[in-house]
Amino acid sequence: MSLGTKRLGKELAKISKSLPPGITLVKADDLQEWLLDIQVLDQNPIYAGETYRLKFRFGKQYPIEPPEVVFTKQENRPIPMHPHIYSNGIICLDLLGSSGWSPVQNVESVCMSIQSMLTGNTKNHRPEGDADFVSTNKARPKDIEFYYHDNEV
Amino acid sequence: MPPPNTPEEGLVSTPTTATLALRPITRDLEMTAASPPTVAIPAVDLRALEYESNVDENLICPICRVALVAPVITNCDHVFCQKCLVQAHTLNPVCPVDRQPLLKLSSGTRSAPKLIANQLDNLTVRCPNRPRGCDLVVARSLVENHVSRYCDKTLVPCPHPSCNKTIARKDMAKGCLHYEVSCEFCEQAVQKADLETHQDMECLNRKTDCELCGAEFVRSKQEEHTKECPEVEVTCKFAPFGCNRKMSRRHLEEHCARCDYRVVGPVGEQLAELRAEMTALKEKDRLKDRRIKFLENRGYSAPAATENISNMNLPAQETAPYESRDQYFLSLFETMESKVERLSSALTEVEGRHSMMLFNETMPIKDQLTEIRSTMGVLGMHVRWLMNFRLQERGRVLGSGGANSPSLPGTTMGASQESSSDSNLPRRLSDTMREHPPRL
Repeated sequence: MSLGTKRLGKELAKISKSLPPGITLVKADDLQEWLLDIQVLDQNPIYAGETYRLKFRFGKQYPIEPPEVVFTKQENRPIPMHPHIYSNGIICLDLLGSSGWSPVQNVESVCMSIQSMLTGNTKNHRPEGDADFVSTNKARPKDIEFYYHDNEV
Repeated sequence: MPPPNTPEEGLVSTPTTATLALRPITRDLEMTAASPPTVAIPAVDLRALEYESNVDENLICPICRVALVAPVITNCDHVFCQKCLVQAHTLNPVCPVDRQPLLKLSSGTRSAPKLIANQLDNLTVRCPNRPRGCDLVVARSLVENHVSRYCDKTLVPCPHPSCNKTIARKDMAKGCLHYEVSCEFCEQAVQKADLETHQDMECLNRKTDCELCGAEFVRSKQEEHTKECPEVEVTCKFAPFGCNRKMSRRHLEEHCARCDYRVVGPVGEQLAELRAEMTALKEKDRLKDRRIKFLENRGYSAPAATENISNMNLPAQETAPYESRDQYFLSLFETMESKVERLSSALTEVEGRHSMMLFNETMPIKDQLTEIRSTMGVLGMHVRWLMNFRLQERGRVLGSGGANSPSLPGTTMGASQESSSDSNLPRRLSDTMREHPPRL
């Protein structure tokens, strides 16, 4: 408990001072939910000129357990096209699952991972079975068992 | 038989030495994890300490992001707080930094080198009793000792046997202080034990010295003092015109006398005055506009309401809303004009309707006319054919023996009679034609 809040406080102090280019802190009123905007900075035609909003939710066990990270959709904040991002904003990234998470990661590093995941992408489509998944999924993102079928994207 | 320094030999010997070396350390780790603090005073939580200076990034635990506490090092040479690593390990048995498998903490880690421990011990921290008034800054290795033995601000259990509250150590000799007294400055009821902190920090009626000018004032009057304190930093009074210099109030007069913006000052004041005047005028103009619009609306709507009563009669009450006769006539004129316009439009409409109606009626008549014309043509054809036939017939009769010939004009009238009486004639080919005359 104390470990999590203290660390989040430190992270917040750090990222409110400086963040890597393309990442901006939007809202962090408490230590449960933060909003950040990310942009893809190189000229990837899929993401050029767009800004995307990430929502972080921190459990009591953070940083031992991963935070819940999803894209949220709102006016002029779409969900980026990516074969690992579902249209409801859920991100299929091993880093955010219990097995791929490491307590050494932090909000900044997660943002940068997602940013680079977008930067390197060339496929302008959703994951297979996106419509099915979006309509049937009720589980919280971190309880979903993703099958990481390809690692080259 | 391999020589003694073959790889196999080396492989066998390495783990044994490692386990030998690790044995006491792992026991040490277990002890620190399991042993509860034995002293009555709660041990200092090293993670909650505030560090006096920035801690070197290399001494910060990558998990909890504060200076390492009881550091341990993994076989892959990464250092963590012992507690942090234990927590992370229960979730995922790998090294949090490079994900190398870390099956057992006891064999995969050992306590960090003495060098790291020493560096950590030398970090200077603030006494955790700072909120209660201890301003000591001390090396981290000594802070626990300070708090538990020497710091007189440490809270200890009240010496009174039936009191279960805590009290600062320095007041222990005074016995139980957990009774209420009233503060001599603000007359608020405070516990005796808290009286001193109250008077030092909270009490508003207590006098205090201004940090800047040294003058003494009652704490509740702080704001008032700030307004007149000669040392408080203020902005130049020409700030609205662009001077952004700041100085203590004492130097304000001096600065204003030679401020570059003092020339601008009067002009600026005039400007502000003019601006205010302009806004006032604008407001007035707006009001006038509104009034004009309002009057215009009434000018149109009033006659419109009474238009179907009478055009030419000018009811007396209608003149009332108008200010002058001219205006009234003008409006009347306008009403008339609009009426004429309406009438002319109605006229064009009626005209259009009429022409449409006429057109609609003439079309079928025209059709019927052509039909009749064509029927007439057919009839004429029949008649001519019949006449022809009759003439031939007569010619034949005349030729065979002679007979009385009927007058030619009579044949047209008796054509049908003629044809029905001649029905048994062999050359009657156009029978069908006769019964159903073609319609064109």
